[in-house]
Amino acid sequence: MSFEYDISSQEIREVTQLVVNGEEYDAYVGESLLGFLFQNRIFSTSVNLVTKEVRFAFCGMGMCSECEMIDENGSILRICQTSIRRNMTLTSRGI
Amino acid sequence: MADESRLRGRSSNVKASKHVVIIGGGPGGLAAAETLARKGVSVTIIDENPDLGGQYYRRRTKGATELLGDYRVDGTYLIDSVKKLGCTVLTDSYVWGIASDKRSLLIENSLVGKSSRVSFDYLIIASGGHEIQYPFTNWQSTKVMTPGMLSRLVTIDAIEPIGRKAILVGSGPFLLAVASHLIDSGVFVDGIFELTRPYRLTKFSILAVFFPAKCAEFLHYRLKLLKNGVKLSQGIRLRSVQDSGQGIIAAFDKKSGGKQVVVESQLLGVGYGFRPNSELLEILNVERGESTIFGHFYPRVNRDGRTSHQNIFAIGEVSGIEGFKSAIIGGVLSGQRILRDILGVKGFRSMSITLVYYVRSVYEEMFARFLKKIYKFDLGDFPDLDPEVLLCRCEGVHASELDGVLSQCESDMAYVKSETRIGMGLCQGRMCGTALSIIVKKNDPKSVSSGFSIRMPFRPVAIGSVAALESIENRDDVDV
Amino acid sequence: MSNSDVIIIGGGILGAALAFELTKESVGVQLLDRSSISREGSGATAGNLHIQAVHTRRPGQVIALDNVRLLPLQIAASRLWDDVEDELPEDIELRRTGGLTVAESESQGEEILLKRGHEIDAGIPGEILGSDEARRLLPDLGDSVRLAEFCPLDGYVNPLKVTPAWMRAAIRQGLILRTHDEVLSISKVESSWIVKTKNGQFTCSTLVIVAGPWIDQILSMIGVSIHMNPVAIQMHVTERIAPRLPFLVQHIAEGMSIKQVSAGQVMIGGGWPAQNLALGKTSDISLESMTGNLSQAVRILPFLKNVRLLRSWTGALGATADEMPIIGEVPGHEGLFVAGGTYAFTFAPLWAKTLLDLILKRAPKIDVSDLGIGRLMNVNKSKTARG
Repeated sequence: MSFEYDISSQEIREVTQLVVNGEEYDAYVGESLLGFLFQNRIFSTSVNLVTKEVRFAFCGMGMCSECEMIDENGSILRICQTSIRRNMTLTSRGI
Repeated sequence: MADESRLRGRSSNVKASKHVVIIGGGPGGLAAAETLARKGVSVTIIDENPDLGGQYYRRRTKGATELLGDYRVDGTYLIDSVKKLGCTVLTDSYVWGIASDKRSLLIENSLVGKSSRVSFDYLIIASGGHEIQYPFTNWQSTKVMTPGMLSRLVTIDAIEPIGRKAILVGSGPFLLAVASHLIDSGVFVDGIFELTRPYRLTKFSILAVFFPAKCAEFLHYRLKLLKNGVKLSQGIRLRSVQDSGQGIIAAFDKKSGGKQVVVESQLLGVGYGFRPNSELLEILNVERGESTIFGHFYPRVNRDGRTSHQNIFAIGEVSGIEGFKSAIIGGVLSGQRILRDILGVKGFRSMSITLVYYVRSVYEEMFARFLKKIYKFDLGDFPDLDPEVLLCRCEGVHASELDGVLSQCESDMAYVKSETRIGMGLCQGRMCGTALSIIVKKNDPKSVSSGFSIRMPFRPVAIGSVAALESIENRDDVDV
Repeated sequence: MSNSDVIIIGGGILGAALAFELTKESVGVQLLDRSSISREGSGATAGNLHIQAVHTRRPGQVIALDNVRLLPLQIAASRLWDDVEDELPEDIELRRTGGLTVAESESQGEEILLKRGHEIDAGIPGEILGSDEARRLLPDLGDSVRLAEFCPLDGYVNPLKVTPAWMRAAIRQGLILRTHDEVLSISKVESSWIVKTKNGQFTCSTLVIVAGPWIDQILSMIGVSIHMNPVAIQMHVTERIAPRLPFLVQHIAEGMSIKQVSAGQVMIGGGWPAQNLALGKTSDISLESMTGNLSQAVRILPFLKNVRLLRSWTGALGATADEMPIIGEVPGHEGLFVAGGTYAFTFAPLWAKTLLDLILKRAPKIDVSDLGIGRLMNVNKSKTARG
């Protein structure tokens, strides 16, 4: 879990299970996915379709397409523009 | 029409029938939306992100807010205001095309995976810009990103970057701002490496005294850097990055020669200023503004932000002036202009607001021009790419593949693209286009810089979404 | 003044292929193009090699083409394409994995059977597949497909590679290539043609015009009046996906061609019209054609629903009023040859070898006398069929 703070003074926020490339994590619904991956040292979002290199988010604003991951519905998401939803499963695009 | 002339005297009905669509929920788009919606005009504001704010007013996540408090509260206020005033807000939505009548946008909602048309009477394009890149060896490393992303991670997502060390490379005053944010969050900045040589006292740079507020801001950054031991180098070029166990090792050189400079850090943020997200403007065929050495498309706009098309406005970064202040000014002016168009010339108060903003706009533009000269690029500042440099990140094309093609290319980006696949990938040349433009122009100085040609879709969109549009009748999606 | 045996005007696939054939036989050739090579139709086309009978009308096309007439030309071209890859040292991504043509209704099914009959007469191999068999061959086919024909000779070649490859091979054999050299005027002095461009003056004994939609403009410089009916058509390409579509998929009744290229992208076309025709500039994309073409594609290959469209573009097709190819010597003008019209891409090696024979005054291996430009010289403007 990424944040540690004084929970007594805060409202309880919804925790959900987030699966990234097969690994399970606990995460808060509504938090930034990019921030989450960064904080948990998951430096891989996509695999380049030509060079097969592992890539991570580069531009942080939806322009480079290197942060694309595929969710549980098969939709392609740009992680830098996505918030954590309930029971999300993500796989690197290009794997 | 008879009905319309009767209605003309009753302004509330006239404004009710006109619909303004704003692309981009950053400071510019928000300011325009607020200006218009406050007077009862029907507004739709579209943004790709999960919430309004753009880059500058990006909302902190809940966790970060609880940890650190709200950030740039004027942004929060503006966003709430826009929502309360009844603007239709379409978030998680990106514009990918325009219908043949040039009066409706094609947008895709990325949450539900569906496309729809959004019609407009007036269009305000406040789509911002993204950071200019110039490749170097191993720039595709996962520890390399844009300064904007680094900044957002520490200020918005409230992240502790690995080991709390980073270097900033590229060009532009933005690097100073990002360094400041990183320092404030406890990240040690191992250095700022500026390609051009703006930080010199020259006869021209003394003109900065005409912009006292900006000077103060600059000095504030400069002092912060000095206090925190952050070295500011200029006239220095990034050549390669190596992944080391702890982070990265960056190697620089100078155009004038001399020893290589090697710096170790954990993360690297690189960006050379901004290029406009102007695809829609290009497709609309608005008149082009000033060209730059990079060949980026800027629209010609007047002081109100109006392009050569009567009902299309471009404000903020996309129109060529950096900075949130300019964007807000552009938002207010374009909003005021549209109000005058729809409601007729009105009132001393409205004209005086406009006048004040005109003055501010001129001031901001003069400062922007001043900065452009201070951070002036020379084609020769950019080093020739080593053969192993990955020029096109998406399609995996290395600089070596340009051998032989350049001599035949006749300064033609399209030809280079067809021979090498550079620019044919998912980002459609956004990351590599500027660099290729520079390379082609260095190869043939007589060439007129232009980027890759722009086509719909401006962003990839599922075929199913496009096919489904066929069954949607062409109607005004938003009626008042 | 620069003198050569042959001057070719037009640097698309026809110009490149012809230059290759001529220089192979040690003929001195200069090729002129007003822009870079492969800039227009040849660079924008789908790159399909159509060997089974083609559908007769693009969307919006008024005059149906005579697809039966094309069959012997297609089988001849097919044999030549087999050799092209061997002759060119570069990889042109030539794929001859075959093509399907599908039918969704009973009457469309009958059209397929009818065309199969003509193909058998012309010696073109193919197989009729019922609904189940078609799905065994290509499980991705949508439910509406009732009947299909598979022809093993259909295929494609990468248009971005083939023209430059042919051109480079020709240059190695002695071709002089002048790009960005627009032809301004042409005159004839005795038996020599004099071609003036902005950069110089060139003479030759044989002049070949393969300038696509500009054939009429160039011919008018010689006082020959014909009317081309160019059309701007549209192509769509997706992101790269894993290999899934092993061959070309077409539709019997509607313009539709879908294939997955070597890079993994799926190209979707079929001759849908662009928004406008801006000859020499960029024609605009038509949203109606985009949604129309892509709806078709999704119906026939439903997996495409979730594949992302990456880009669209347009290109000018140098069509004629009767939608048929043009090839041969211009009547009344010795030493002046043209080639072009529809399906020029598929016919490129055939037109190149035919022109070679005609220029060297040998009997061409295939009879193309009915496809001469003479038929267009007698049609005056008011009669040309354009909507």
